[in-house]
Amino acid sequence: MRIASCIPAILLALLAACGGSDRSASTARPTTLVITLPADADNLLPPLSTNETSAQVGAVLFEKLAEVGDSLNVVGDEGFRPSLADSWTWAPDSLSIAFHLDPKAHWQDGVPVRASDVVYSYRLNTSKDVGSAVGPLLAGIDSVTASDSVTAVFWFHARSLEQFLNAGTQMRVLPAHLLQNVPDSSLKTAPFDRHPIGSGPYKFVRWVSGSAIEVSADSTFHRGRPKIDRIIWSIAGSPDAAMLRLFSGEANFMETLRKQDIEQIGKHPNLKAVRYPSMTVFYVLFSERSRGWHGPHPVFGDRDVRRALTMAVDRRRAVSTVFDSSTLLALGPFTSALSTYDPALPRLPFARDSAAAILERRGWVMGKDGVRHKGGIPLRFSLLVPGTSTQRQQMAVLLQDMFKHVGARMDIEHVDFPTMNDRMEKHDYDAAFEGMTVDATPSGIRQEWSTSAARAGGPSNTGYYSNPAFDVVIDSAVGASSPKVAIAQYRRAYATLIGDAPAIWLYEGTTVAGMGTDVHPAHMRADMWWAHLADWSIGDGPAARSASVALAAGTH
Amino acid sequence: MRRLLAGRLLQGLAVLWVVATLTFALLHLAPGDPYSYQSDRRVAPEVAAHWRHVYCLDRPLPAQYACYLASLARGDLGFSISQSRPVRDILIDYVPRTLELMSLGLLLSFAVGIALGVLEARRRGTFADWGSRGIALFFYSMPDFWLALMLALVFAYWLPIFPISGIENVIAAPTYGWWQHAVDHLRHLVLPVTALVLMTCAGIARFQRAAMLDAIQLEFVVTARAKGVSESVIARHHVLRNALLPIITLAGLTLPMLLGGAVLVELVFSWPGMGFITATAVGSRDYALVTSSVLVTSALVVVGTIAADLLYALADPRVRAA
Repeated sequence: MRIASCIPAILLALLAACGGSDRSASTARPTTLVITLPADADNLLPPLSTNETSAQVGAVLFEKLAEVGDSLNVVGDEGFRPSLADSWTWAPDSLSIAFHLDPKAHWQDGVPVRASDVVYSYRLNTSKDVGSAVGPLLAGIDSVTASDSVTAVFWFHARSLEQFLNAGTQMRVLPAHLLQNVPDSSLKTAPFDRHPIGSGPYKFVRWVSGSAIEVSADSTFHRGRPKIDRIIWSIAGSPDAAMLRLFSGEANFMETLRKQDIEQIGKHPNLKAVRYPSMTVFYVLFSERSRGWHGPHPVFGDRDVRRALTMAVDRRRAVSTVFDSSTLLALGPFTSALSTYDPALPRLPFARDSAAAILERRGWVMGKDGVRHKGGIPLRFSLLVPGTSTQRQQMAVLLQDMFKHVGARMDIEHVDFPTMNDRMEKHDYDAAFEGMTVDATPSGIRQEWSTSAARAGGPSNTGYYSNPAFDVVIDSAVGASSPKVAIAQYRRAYATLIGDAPAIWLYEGTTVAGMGTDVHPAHMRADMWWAHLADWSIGDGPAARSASVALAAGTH
Repeated sequence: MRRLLAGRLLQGLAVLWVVATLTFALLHLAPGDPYSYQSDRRVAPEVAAHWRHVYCLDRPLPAQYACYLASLARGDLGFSISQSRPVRDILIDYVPRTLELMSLGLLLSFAVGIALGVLEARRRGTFADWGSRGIALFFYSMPDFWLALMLALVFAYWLPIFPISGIENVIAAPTYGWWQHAVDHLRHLVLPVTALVLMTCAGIARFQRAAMLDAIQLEFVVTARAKGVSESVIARHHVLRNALLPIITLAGLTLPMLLGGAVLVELVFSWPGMGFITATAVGSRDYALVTSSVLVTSALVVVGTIAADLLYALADPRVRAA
């Protein structure tokens, strides 16, 4: 009986000892970046993947023809970097671009990358049976042909400043020799999706569902071997679990820290916090149509009322209360990372008295209950706030108080993301606290805010913002013949939008990553922090604790 | 015995049908669908429409239900949109991990619970009795997730004895032989299983203690004692055997509780099992995966309950006769 009672203790001691012995090992070792994140990948075949983990893994396995440069300029072809294509040539009429593939590029099974792979990848991404999220972005391309084994030619319906972006950077090139015998409708269940072979800087090693995805450096990569030997995406069940992994040394990179985590990171000797630009903008979107779209919204259908409510909000104070003073205020549905951004754009000031005066002028008279009324209708509305976002909930409470000072009453409705999206698509809301990841393509603003987007229904422009003046300017920006003209037109469109106040633009997302002090990230791009993973390095200093386990075991 | 088994199986099937229907209805009544939640990368409306059509999501609810039942009848559990692969393949990966966690948790909970119950009953009224009950109650009354987090904090962070989460050392695992794999896996099991055991063993111990105290007062025990049989023989052969009967029923009842606890434990320790995947699937409105997960979980509970009933019948001739 006594021996039996000791068994668990002995077992625990043995197990602990087994683990502990590995940790002391330290030799010259392969470098490993362990990224901890909350979601597993869905599919490693890029046309079928829809989540960010898949995008990150796909980015190191498969290449695009060209990459957007760090300036994020996507107008014309200035600033783009060669990737699978080492050069490109425009046709004299600008209706086609010939991409010349790097002859050294090869698939990780040894087969060279050919123009036929590009042709196949285009066909796959535009196939209806595949339903790729990239497909609609390739709509401006008429066809893709192979003029020789290493030259793929993209033919366009019409000229536009985003021709190069769409042809060169929207799709990743896939190995035709491994996939072309799989029917499009069966691709979702093809073994390749979970054991991919790419041409990128890293080779696929393994994927354990719900646990980890591992890739290793390809020393034969045509643009040179990447600096970090291995990258592992380690799946944690929750942000807390991910943080514990980072703190315990089981991971050495976490892409997004919460406010409370940043403070903790500062106290940890082996970890550092790195701020990087974001493409997310947060704002309170007004629905300009009444619920169910039966005419204009009784409150937000009036441009002056929207402007007044915007002016009633002290955005600087709200943002610094919830975040800190370094958080950037948003000017509109775009971020400071975009090449079309202009810090001198006009903005509606915080002016509570003026806001009250405008409301008074528009017939909203203060009632005894402290709420304004017009024709028996109170100045009252509800705001949808995602229940999982603490910051948005905190800020909603501050906004509620600020609106109260001008006689507007706002009720806060906490909902989950699917419910919020569903209600917005069905136009069953007054206002919504949105967070939108802005497209690096400036023309994306047309898809989000144009009258045609509002009429089309769906998830875009659910607030039914419509201004013909904006539509005209944005159309001329998209169709402009030179980047300079386009940028000027985009800025005019932004100013129109800001003046119409379809939303209260609050703040740009602040993204802070947590990482080991020995992790040296290359430039972390606002739209894809992982864009330069192949250039990251892990230098001297405390490494992820478990990295030493692998070394002791003699990997690589 | 056969009638008992047949009756229980029919009841189980009815329960499964009700569960499947209720889960389907509740999920579809909630706003949104799998394409209302594409948080990372926006899916163009035409692409979403294409996939909604492929997965019958653009049809009226009764048609979707008919579609779902027809698939179930064919043994097809559907396609998970959030995981982008057949639900069957996902379950093959995730169910064994939950079964492993749960069966170990169940086994150790009962071993520890019964041992504590026996100890408390035999030392009734002593410091050992009070102390053991107090400590067990302390863990029992703690919120599940908090207990799991504290275990992780203390034994994986402050005292880095065990891994903090996951099922393997993701860095070293590819280089391990089977023995190292087994040890590594066991090390990762320690904290989640301990959390499950601490959550449940107090209830089992109290149940066992009460059953022991009831059995001690029965006439055959008094007779054995009068005959001069030693206390330890009485405890093992007379009291414990009789006091274990209600525990069989308790095992059937503990199964759903353990499964519920496993959801939280899996999330805190990033143990990629059914709880882990179901929680993710609910957030992304992955209808096929949620309904199948719930169905499989219910099936496990039904099978566990039937097994408990059968064991009880085997152990107690009176039940067989009835």
